[in-house]
Amino acid sequence: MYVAVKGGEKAIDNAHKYLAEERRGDTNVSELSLEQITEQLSHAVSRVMAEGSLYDPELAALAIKQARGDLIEAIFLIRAYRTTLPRFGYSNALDTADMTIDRRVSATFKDLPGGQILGPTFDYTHRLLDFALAAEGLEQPRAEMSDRELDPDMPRVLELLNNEGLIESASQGFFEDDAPVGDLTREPLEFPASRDLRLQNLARGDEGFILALGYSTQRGYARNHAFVGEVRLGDVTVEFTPEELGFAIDIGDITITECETVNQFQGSKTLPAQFTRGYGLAFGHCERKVISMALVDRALRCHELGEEQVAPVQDDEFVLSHSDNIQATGFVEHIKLPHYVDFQSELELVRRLRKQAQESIMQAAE
Amino acid sequence: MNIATPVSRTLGFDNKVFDATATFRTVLEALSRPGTIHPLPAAVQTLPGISAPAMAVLLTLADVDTPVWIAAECDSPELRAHLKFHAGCPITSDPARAIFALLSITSDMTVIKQFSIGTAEYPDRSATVIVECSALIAGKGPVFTGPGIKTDVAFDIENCPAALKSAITRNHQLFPIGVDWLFTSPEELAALPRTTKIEE
Amino acid sequence: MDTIPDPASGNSSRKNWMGTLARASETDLEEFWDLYGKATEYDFLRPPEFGLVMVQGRAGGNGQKFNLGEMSVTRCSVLLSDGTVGHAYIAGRKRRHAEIAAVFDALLQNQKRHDKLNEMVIAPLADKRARALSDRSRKAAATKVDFFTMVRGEDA
Repeated sequence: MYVAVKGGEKAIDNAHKYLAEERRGDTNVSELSLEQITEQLSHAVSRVMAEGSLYDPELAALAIKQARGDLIEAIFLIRAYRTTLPRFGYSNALDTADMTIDRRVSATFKDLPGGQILGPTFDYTHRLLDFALAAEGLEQPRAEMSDRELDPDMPRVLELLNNEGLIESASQGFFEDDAPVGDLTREPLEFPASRDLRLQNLARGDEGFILALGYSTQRGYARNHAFVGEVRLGDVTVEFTPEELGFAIDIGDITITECETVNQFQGSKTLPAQFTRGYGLAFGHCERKVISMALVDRALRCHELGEEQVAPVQDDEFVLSHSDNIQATGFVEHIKLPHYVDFQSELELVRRLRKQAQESIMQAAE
Repeated sequence: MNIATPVSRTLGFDNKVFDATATFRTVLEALSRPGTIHPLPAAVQTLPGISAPAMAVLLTLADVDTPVWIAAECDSPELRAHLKFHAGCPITSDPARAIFALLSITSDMTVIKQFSIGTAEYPDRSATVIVECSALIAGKGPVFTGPGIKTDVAFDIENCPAALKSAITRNHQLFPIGVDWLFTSPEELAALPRTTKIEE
Repeated sequence: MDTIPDPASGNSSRKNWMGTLARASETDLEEFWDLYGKATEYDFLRPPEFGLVMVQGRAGGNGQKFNLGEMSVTRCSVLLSDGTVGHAYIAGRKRRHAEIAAVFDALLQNQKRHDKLNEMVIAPLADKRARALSDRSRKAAATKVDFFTMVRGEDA
C-alpha cells in the first residue's frame, strides 16, 4: 500500500539548488556546451537517443548535461519530454540498403560487393590510454581521403546467401506485410509478443541488459552459433507522407547502426536445415547494442522456428518485461523513497510474532 | 493515399497549445461532473454546420491514432480536409473503427449500436460519441445519478430524440464497457460518461 | 493559378526540392532568404510547430515492419497572397528553418519563379550536399580493407 507523505518542501528546494551547483562543478572550469557534447561525446548521445527512443542529438546532449552524465537519468528526461509532443504520423520504412555508408563490415565473407569499410572504429585500437588527449591545443586530427568514392552498390551481405537459398528469406515468412505494426508506447505488451513488438522493445532496451543476454546465448544458454553477417553504420533518409501532400517527402537523414547475424539452424519437421537471421537496428552509432540485439532477437524467435525454449533469453515475457531501464530504475530506485507506513506495519508484525513465540516458549516452560 | 487532400484554408485554434489545453481541461471537467454545462474556454475557427465546441473537442482530442467517423448531417469535404490538416486524424467510414464519432441529434441513431464499446480487458478501447445539439438545458428534464454527481442532476437536450435517450440508458447498463457521450451546442458542452445513470 | 502541375512528374520534382530544403543548413537558408525570400507576403496556415514522427524499420532490412523510435520534426504551412500553399516537414526542432522552407516550397510551385529559384537556391544547396557526401564517401573509402586469409598447414 502507498501512503503519501507531506512536508519537506524547503529541504527539497535546497536539495535541487545543491544539485544545480554540483552539476556545474568548479566554476573555474569552463562550462560544457551542448555542441561539445554532441560533437565529442557522440556515443553517449547515441545511447540516449536509442534508449530514449527519440532521435534528436541536441536534446540528447541537453539531457546528458542536465543528468550530469548519468545516461539512464538522461534517457528518463528524454522519455518524459517526448510525451509532450504530438505524433504527426509514421515514416515509410527505412531503406537501409540505400544508406550513406560510414562503416560496413562482414565477419562471414571477406570479399563482398562494395568491400569491407572499417570507418571510424575502436576495433583495431590497442586500448592503451592516449595521454596526448589529456593535453590541450592538440593538432587537429584529419581523416585520410581516398581519390575514389565508395562503390555506390552496397548490397546487404545476407542477400548473397539468400540467392543460394541457404538462408531464410527476410522479406517473407512469419508475418503479413500489411498487418498493423504494434506500438508498445500506445498499447500494453501482451505475451507472446510478435516480432515487431520484440524489435521495438529491444531497440529501446537497456544496452547492458541486452549485451548480457546476448552474451548468455554465446556461452551456451540457447546457443544458436551466430556470426555477424554484416554491421553497417551510416545515414539513412527518412521519408514521410503528410496527409495534405499525398506523396512521400524526405524530412532529413538520421544516423543508424544495423546488424544482421547469420545463425545455424538444424531444421525442424517443417523447415529444412538452413541459416537463420537475427536483426538489430538502433539510432546513432551503437554497434555493441545492435549486435547484442540481433543475438537476442534470434533467440526470441525460438517458437516460430520450432526450437525448444531452454534459456531465459528465449522467454519473451522475461526479456521484454525487464529490458526497459526506465521501468527498471523506477521500480528499483523507488524503494529508497519514504515507505514509513508500510515498514511500520511490517515492524509491528515481526514484534507480534516474536512476542507470540516468546509466550509459547514461556508456556512450554511452565 | 496518392491523391493529395485539399488543404484547409481555415485556421484552427488561435493559440494551439493553450487553447487545446484549456479545452482538454473543460472536457475533463464535463466528464467528471456529468450533466453540468460548460462554455467553450477557447477561440476556435470552425466551418459552417459544425459548432465551435465540437470543433474544439476534435482538434484537442483527435490525432493520427484516432479514426474519426462523421455522420452525413455533419460531413463535408471541407470538414474532412480541415480535420486531417489540423488534427492529422484519419476519417473512417466504418463506425466500428471510430475512436471519435461526430453526429447530430437529427442523425439516424441506429448507427450507435455499431460504435466500439471496448472489451472487458480493455474497456478504454471504445468510442467517444460527440452529439451536436441545438441547445443544452440545465436543471430540467431527466435526472441523472452516478460518480461525480453529489445527489442527482437534471440535464436535458433540446428536442432529444427518444432513440438517443434509450441508447444512453442501454449504454450505462453495459458498464464497465460502453461509449462516452459528449453533447455540444453552438456555445457549450456537457458530458455523460458510461458511469452515469438515467433515473426514471 | 500559374503553378507547376501536380501529376507524378511534378510531384517528383517537388519531392526533390522539399528534400533539399529539409537537409539544408539554417545558415545557408537564411542567406537565400535574404536574397530571394524575405520580400514574400504570406500568412501562416499552420505556424511552425514541433512534433514527432515514428520511424519504422524492417526486420532484416526488408522484412516485417516495426517501430524503431520517434524523431523530432518541425512542420509549417504558409499561404501566399496569390493563393499558393507551401509546406515544410523538417527533422529536428527548427522553427525558422521550417518557415523558410515552407515559403520557398510555395514560391517554387509558381511557374514564373520556379526556374530562377531552382537555379539560385535549390541547385547550390544540392551541390553543396553532393560535395559533402562525396568527401564523406572518400573518407570511408580510405578505410576500405582487404583481409587475407592465411592458410596454415601443408596442403595449401
